[in-house]
Amino acid sequence: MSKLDSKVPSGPLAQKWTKYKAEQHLVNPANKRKLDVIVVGTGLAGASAAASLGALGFNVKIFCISDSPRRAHSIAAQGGINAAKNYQNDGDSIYRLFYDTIKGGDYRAREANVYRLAEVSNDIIDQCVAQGVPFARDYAGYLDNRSFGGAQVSRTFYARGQTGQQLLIGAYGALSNEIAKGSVKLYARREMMDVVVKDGRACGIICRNIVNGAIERYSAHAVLLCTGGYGNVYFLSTNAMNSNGSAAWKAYKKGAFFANPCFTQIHPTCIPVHGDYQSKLTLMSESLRNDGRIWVPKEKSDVEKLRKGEIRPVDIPEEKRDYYLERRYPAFGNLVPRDVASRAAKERCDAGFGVNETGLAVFLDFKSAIERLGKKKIEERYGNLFQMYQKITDQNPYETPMMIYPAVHYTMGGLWVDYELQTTLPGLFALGEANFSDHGANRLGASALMQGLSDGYFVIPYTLQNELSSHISDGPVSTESPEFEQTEKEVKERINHLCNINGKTSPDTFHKRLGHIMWEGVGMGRTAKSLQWAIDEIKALRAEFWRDLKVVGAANEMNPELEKALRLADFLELGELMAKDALLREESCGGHFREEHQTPEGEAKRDDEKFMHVSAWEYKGGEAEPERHVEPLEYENIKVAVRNYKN
Amino acid sequence: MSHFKKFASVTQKITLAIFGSFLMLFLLVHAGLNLCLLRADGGEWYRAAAHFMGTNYIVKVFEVVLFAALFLHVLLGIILQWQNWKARPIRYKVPNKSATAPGSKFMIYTGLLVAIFLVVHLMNFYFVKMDWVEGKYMVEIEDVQKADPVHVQEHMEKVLELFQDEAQADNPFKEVATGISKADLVEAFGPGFSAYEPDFYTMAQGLFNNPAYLVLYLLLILALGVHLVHAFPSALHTLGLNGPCYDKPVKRIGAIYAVVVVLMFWAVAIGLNLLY
Amino acid sequence: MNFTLKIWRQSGPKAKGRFETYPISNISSDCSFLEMLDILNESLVAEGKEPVCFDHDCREGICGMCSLYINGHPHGPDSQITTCQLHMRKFKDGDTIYIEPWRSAAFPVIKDLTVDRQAFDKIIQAGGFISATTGGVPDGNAIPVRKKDADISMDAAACIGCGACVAACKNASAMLFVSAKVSHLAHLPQGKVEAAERVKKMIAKMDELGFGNCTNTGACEAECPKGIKILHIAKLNREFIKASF
Repeated sequence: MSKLDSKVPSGPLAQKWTKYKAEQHLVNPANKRKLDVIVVGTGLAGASAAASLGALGFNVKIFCISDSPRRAHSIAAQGGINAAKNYQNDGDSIYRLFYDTIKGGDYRAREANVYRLAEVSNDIIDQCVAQGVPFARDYAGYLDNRSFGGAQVSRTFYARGQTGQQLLIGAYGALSNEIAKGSVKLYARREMMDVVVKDGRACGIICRNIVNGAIERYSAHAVLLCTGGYGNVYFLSTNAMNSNGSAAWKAYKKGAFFANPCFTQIHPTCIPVHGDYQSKLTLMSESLRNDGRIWVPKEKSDVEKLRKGEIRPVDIPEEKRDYYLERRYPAFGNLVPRDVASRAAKERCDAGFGVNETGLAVFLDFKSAIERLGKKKIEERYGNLFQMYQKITDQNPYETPMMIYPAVHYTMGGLWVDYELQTTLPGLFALGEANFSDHGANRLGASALMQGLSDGYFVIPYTLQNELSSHISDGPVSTESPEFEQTEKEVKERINHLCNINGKTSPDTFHKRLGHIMWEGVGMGRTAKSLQWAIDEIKALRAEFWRDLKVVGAANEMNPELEKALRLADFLELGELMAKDALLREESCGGHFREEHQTPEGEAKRDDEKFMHVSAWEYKGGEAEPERHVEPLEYENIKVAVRNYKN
Repeated sequence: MSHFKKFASVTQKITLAIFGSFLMLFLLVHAGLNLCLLRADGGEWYRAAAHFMGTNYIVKVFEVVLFAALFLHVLLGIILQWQNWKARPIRYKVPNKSATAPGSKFMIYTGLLVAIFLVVHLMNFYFVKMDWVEGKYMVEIEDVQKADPVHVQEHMEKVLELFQDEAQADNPFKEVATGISKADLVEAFGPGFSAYEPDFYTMAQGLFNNPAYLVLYLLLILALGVHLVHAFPSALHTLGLNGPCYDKPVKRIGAIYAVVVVLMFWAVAIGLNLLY
Repeated sequence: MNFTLKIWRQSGPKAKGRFETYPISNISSDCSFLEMLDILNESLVAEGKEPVCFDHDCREGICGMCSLYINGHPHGPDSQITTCQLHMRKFKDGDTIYIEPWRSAAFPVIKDLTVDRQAFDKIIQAGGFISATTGGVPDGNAIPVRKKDADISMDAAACIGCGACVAACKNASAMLFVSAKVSHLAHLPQGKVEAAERVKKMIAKMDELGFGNCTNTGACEAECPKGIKILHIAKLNREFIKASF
């Protein structure tokens, strides 16, 4: 029997969540007041969870790495949020959203979780509208939709190109309401350093106050990690500079299993890299693919001329353009899922058709859309994105096609959680991107927002009660226990150690090198060789890091260099686990593309026989090899098939 | 000061805007009356208007309201400005270069110039009316009988001199004696005489024919204009009377209003200087 | 490109600050402003000096974390962008660039160019939300919202809470920030229920926190990275007047 009990309720798929809610234990209002909950992170998952739990009556403490909860990186999501409302009468349903999500995830997600996600998706829209999220509306005043990659219906709700921002501000408003009422206490500019475990159960966290460097203890009956993904392990990604994997990694080291670490989403439409000083990559929303057409020249001679600046993109006539997505995937065309679009771009660039000086870019062209709909309509739909593009690249996308290239965007992997979102460490929950649960091997566009809010608003308020109902008589959790003492000591020692290596190399230099290894070895196309190379390189880099790191400044003050070093130390371990996981997953699925495993046409080739499971890694201490556990995935309600976006 | 703290900042601003709007209306009336000075009637219309303003009871009530509005406008302006300075205790090294509405950054300074102007202006005119400061006066011929007859009799020569009209040969006496100094007034009509009025027309003529005063006046009116360019749209804005369709027209009307007010005052000042 | 940077350095909230001069050379014109500061910091670290502390996070102009008052402009000389979206091509080779923190009594300096903007959170906590708790809300399409209202509401809701309005305002007033929230919610039927209470409470909190008063200069609008119009301030005033009846 596997160590992993997913706790999925029995019964028909469509009844599972209803059944769970009917049978779960509740905590009465008087007892909720006696229970403390720590929420780490204030993105969509964290803010919505804290607001909902605060409203229920729990004592919530929420921790925020920035100065305000509103800065969390959920805010950067542009395109939209999916829901199975079927307002467009185009045949959408909960089942279809569920099906698309499972299929988009290349059959590597847990059925019951995804169905629940699709089920509550409609409630999310209602909730957000009630909170004042200004979704786009039609002239009759009803909610408008757009379509997104991997779906044949229009089910994406949006607020211009700032949907993530608006949803986060809605959740932040709800959170602020609870903070004002006193049910939630906000700790801003705090970074979680470690989880405290007592008697096999998470009982609190150790934080570093970023303003003055103080190490602080906080206790609770349950700890919720809503700390997002670990895409910054690649250094260059669309993640924010402060996004990091440390909280999840610390949980892993305290006994929570880490699931599917190799599943990384490479987003097809980002602004290409332009220099080695670059600090991050900017995403251009997937929604652009609704109206933009992706192409490269058909002839190498045109590519050469483009790179030399002898011709402009608009000089290349239609018949000499290769709209490769439309050519390869006639049914979905430019709206294929992200992993497919990214790989197709890489394939063209590897074949030598990349259109900028680095050879790592393809065109995203709005010419035909502007001709069809008029400039005004395009401006209305994508104005702010076009403006953003122009500010960064100094090129006008109304006149010349955009140049885009894939970039690391999202990590489907994360802490393993059961149906209740609890990790293998009792009392520790993971929500949103921090867990692995809903997106399988590839996430569809506009589904991350849906998952974050679903976990926070509509799942955790139920499942947490079920868990905490057996802890109502525990009494307050003390921060004076030896466990807190010990964990705090470890944190302080680690910080001292980092500050006193006194080497020569800055954290950013190491991070860039790690990013390079990850991109080359564990990037869009992976081979056993590249992965083994990456593992060796990371090990060597890690040793060098601990030998030659230089942290300027003191530990007891605001010190961004120290923050970077602390996060990087964890990335240097996490990166290796990602490579290991990728090495052992001998198949191609979703964002994980093993070049050894592809069809003659270059499509991903899954191995359902051997790998239709979740891999969950258990930390075994120190340099010992982690243990790989397996949660088999059973599909009772959908027919597993080869993903086909061709017809 | 603590009492004002109890009012929301927006309440203070709205009050400032209401009083400011009242003052803007008053300026139009004042400038309109001033235009009478330009009529070549020897001040007949102007004197009539001044007489009306000086004696009508409704106007007198408005005068009280006007001074209250002025006082509160200034007081609130200073209080708000004091709060504003306090809100940024450490200034920037590089002064702000953001684009701002014309005149909007200097309201307290243009306001201060207008205040200086008002002090001078009130000393020149209003204080004379209140008999706090000496000016020039006028007496109507039928009011001579209100003076002490014995005194008038004794000083008939002086009285005749005051009413002497050299311009008209057939009727050597004017209906109104103008431009009388305080000393002459007492000399001719005795210390108890009160049936005289300030002669603003003559005083204005005198002032505007002083080049230094004229330049100062023109400059301070210009400061008032700069104040008004922003005052008009800003007051409407603060009163919530602005929206996407009104924004541009409101700003344009504000600018036109300010230019018109400045030109009206200037016209009179320059006109009196050139004509007389 | 080469520049001379004059950067405000302040070791802590109570410490006395000063300007330090740093020459920097060989900067690509495609480099973003913050990347230029990254390069400076790398060179400072290499010399064993403390790098310049500044707030930043998403680096794509949406989180509102980056600040910096650059040569007399919050978020630098370009319009409708945040500092992280500012590129060095907006400067001339050889320019001297003054970099200062946001200056406001309500935004105390924490270190160097980093300021504490929690005052904005406190204003939102005073009422900048619709108090709909989770669950029990009607269908999203139950109440139609006029497209025009939804659009204006979205215009206002685009605020990223960066504080450039306060930094630009000669009075360090937070009225654009407050009005954006008031206007965003007051334009929606869902937000009208609490509109009167909201505007009064948010203004009271804003006053209490030591922000200055609005004199409608429009500097905030000129510097707002999201192009939020001061017409929302007129809307706030209207809501405030309505609220007193």
